[in-house]
Amino acid sequence: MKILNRLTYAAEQTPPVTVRGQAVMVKPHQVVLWVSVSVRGLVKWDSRTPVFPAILDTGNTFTFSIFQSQLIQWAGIRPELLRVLGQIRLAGRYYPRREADVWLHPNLPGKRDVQPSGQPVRLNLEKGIAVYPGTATPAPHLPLLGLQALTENDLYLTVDGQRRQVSLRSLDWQTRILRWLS
Amino acid sequence: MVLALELTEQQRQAIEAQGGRPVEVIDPATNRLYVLVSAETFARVQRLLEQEKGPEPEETAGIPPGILRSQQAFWRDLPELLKNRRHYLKWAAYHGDERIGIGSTPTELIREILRQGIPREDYYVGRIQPQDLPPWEPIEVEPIHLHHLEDFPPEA
Repeated sequence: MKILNRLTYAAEQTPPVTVRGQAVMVKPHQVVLWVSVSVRGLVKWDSRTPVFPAILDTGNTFTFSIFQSQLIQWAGIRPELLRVLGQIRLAGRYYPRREADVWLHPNLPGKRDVQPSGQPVRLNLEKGIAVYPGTATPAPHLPLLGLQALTENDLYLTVDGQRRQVSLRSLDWQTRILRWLS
Repeated sequence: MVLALELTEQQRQAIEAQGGRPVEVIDPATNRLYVLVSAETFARVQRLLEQEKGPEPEETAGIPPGILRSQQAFWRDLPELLKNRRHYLKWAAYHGDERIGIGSTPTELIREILRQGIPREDYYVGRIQPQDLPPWEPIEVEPIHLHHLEDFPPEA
């Protein structure tokens, strides 16, 4: 199943993305995708859940990282609603890992924009998400979707460098069977 | 470096007579009692003590005790669960020491947990796959945001 269908990114400066009226700069070569965060285990997607941008960062070693202020203002969730599963250690400091589902929204094929009628895909994140205290300073930063989120959900990522496009899909059944047999 | 002292003939005979059980040795100068055990037995005891001690408080800060207990039960059972190929990449839910079930998705397990009325601070759902760290242990992450670099101003 296709999740990101030739999602575009730019090698040059592009207009900022607007989140809840706040303009957030996107740097060249940053892959912006659209996500939602919910408490873990919702039976099905609730279309009232806010959608906001995040950066796909395969160099990031964790699942998903967000600032507390973004979690409240963009995702519409108080951190206390998400259970603490453990901690992450960053530069010698400890921050909570909180249990959450991250939903990845499909894009309009060949564009950066979210597909309004698209059905998002739930990412199961066993280790939870990292919630940093306070606000991103000195400038707003977008939350990060790290490689571990894709790995844990057995997703297949391709980057077309020539066309500056990223595609993401779940494994099809033929591949699953072949891998199971091997 | 620790010096390995050689056993006296009397000590060797005492050990043999005890058939593997610990041998008590007294230091006549201080009247202090020592226990002589084989290196294998000592290693076993050391492992047990380590397990009993559990994780360091700093590592588990903020994790509700009910979740931590459930994580420990999951970690205890994981090697056994991994032996069964049918369980591989499935999810297991724990309420304290008790396994609630194994399922294809965490959602179906959480639904069962809610059906059983288990409090939200008392369960854990983990994935059955090889893991290098226990679920409660802090995960080391690279500094990524600009504000984390504020303590390190750029060189002039």
